[in-house]
Amino acid sequence: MAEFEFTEEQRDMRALVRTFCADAWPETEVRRLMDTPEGFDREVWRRLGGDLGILGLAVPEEYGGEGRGIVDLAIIAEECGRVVACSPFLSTVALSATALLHSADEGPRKALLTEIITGQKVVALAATDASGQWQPANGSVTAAQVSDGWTLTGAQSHVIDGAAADALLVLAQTPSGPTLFLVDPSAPGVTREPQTTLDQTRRMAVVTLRDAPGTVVGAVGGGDEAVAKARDVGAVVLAAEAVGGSQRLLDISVEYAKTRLQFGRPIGGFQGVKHRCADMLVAVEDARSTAYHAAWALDDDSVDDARVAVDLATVVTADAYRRVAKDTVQVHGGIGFTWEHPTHLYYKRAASDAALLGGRAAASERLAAGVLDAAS
Amino acid sequence: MSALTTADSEPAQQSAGRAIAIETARRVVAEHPPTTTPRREFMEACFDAGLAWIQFPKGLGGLGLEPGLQADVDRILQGAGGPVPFALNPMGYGMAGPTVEAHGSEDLKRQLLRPLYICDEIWCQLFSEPGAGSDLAGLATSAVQADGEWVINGQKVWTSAAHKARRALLLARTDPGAPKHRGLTYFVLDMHDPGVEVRPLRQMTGEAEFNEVYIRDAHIPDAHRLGDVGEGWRVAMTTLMNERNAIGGGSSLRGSGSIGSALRLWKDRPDLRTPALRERLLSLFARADSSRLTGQRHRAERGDAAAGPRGSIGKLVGAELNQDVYEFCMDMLGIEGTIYSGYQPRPDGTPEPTDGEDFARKFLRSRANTIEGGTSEVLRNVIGERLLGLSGDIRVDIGKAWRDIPRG
Repeated sequence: MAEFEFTEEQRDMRALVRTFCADAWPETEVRRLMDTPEGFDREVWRRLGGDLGILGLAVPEEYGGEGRGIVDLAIIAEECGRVVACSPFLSTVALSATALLHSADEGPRKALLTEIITGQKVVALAATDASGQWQPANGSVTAAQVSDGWTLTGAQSHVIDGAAADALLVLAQTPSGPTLFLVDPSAPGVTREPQTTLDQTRRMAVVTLRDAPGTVVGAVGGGDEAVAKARDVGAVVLAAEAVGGSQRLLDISVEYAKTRLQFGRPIGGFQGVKHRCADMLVAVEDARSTAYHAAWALDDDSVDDARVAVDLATVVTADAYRRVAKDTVQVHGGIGFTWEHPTHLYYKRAASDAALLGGRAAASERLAAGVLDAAS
Repeated sequence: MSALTTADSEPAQQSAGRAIAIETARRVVAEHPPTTTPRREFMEACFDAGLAWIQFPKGLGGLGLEPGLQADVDRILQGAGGPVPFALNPMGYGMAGPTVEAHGSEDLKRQLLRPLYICDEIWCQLFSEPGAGSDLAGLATSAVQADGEWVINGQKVWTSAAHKARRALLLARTDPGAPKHRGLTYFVLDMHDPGVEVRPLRQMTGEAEFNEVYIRDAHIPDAHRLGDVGEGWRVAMTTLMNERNAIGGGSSLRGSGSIGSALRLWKDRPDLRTPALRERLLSLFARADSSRLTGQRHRAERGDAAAGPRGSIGKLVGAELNQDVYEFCMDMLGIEGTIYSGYQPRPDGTPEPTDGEDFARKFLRSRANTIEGGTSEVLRNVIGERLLGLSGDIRVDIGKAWRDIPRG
């Protein structure tokens, strides 16, 4: 499959998901879900898994998935981003399913993957520390071996969908290195406290463990690698969401610039506004290219160095999304700053996404180390 | 749905076309190894095999395939050491070829395309005038019909390669009484006509890449007209869209072009590095690489579609990026950047060959990037109006005869 050329099947899927998203997450519904305890609708989630069958696109067929790839996930993410969909797609499909797939452990993996793919279970990947830093070298959860297994103690903050999750995949420190554990949130010793998030469409929570029982997933000491794979896929999903979100903002800005009259003519006819819109389009186009490229690079390592491609996508899409969001406020004038107008939903997501999974700053630093310092 | 999402194309047909293009390119390279074959002979073989402009009809330098396949072909030809036609004859290959193919008579295509491609005839473009730059349609050079010929009078400016060109694309006014866009006609001018005088135009770098061209009673046969009388603006649009695509097309290699120069400077001069410069260079790299990928994506998505206003995106970004990259290099070089390699132009007007990068010269030269080939302001208008559908600027020249519009 040549890079940047979508198949007929992928184009059909995009159209299907776009219709689904428009139906499932109109702005009124996004605003309603923002105020619910979990932040998403479990029935909609089950339909995505069951009726549409798109939660297992990147999962191999032997685990009940479609055996396709990250490009397919990116298409879904882009469409979800367009409507700021309230769903556990990032936590459950991009992060947890990928971490499970890269943990060589048939038992819990197969059972849990099946429940993820069908939309039956929401799973959170807890790989932060107590202050919310992503995948720290010295995590703040420690695992101790006891007679009949392991217990985990410590706290992690900013765990995406941590409060709603039916299962937690927790990265914890063991004497043999960072290890992934499956933790039942209803087990004794587990408490979860929802955080008030800047982006109300994406929930986070503090997960505290006090001698909570955990089951090893994959190899003891192999947790970092599984989480790193998950982060790559998560970063591409965030990048593609940013493309969908910024495209939507560009669309509404252009629509407004065509209809809003000042000084007797549409404001889009004035170069101050027109040129801002042109720059927004350029930003969206570059964001789209890097997001797609990163997806292709994860699927096919002959396309590019995946490390560079993913970090480039994070840097470029984060910048583009924030830039387009702030330009959208500006083009709309006062109305763009109101609670009633949709822009702030996107603006807050753009700001929040730029900090998730290590964020734009860490990606930029890795890119600098890889591209600039490595060349020296 | 955005007007910019993937163009529909037929995947199966596409891969068949790609196979033909690649196989043809490999055959030409095998039969005429470019490292041992004289350049002209190699280019003749490429033209005759249909690899010059892959989308052109067979017999006219093409194979009637999708334009996007040219990149695959070029990788093979140039990868084997073949010449870069755009570098040898930029106006000819990038702009004149597509314009002649789109608007010329069959005779004219047969007469002009082959010598153009094999570089027997270098081309230039006589568009801009002292009084008509961004407002190209305001130009004053006149073409008057007499005895089946056209007589041309006027002055052009900013003409690259005029001093070595055999032919020129010429936009001239044939009806001063018509509104400005309607009174134009498009011609192919023989630069050896005795009425054509080329004078070098020295720019701030000290070089004279460009020229002024004075035209006094030059003659053009009517057969060398492209498109109908009064339809010159429409023909010029083909040229301009191809120009922006050619300028903005960019390279398909990471870290090539101006950002490549900056990366080499970073690599070669650890003594000049600072953390602030590192952050700036990384940001420039991200812009350059995303723009490179956008160019690749647009080519992949373009399929059968002709060059369009999307070409403006790459031109706009590339021009501003070049300037920022060379400003970065000058900041990094500090006091070293204040010494210049020399202001004397060579007799043919081309840059002095220098050791290394010659950042100061590139820094000065880059100022022209946001002016030449369409100013950044005009390109943002094109993007805003043609890609996003926003309304046009307020105009005071609409519907007026050209001769009644104030100029200066």
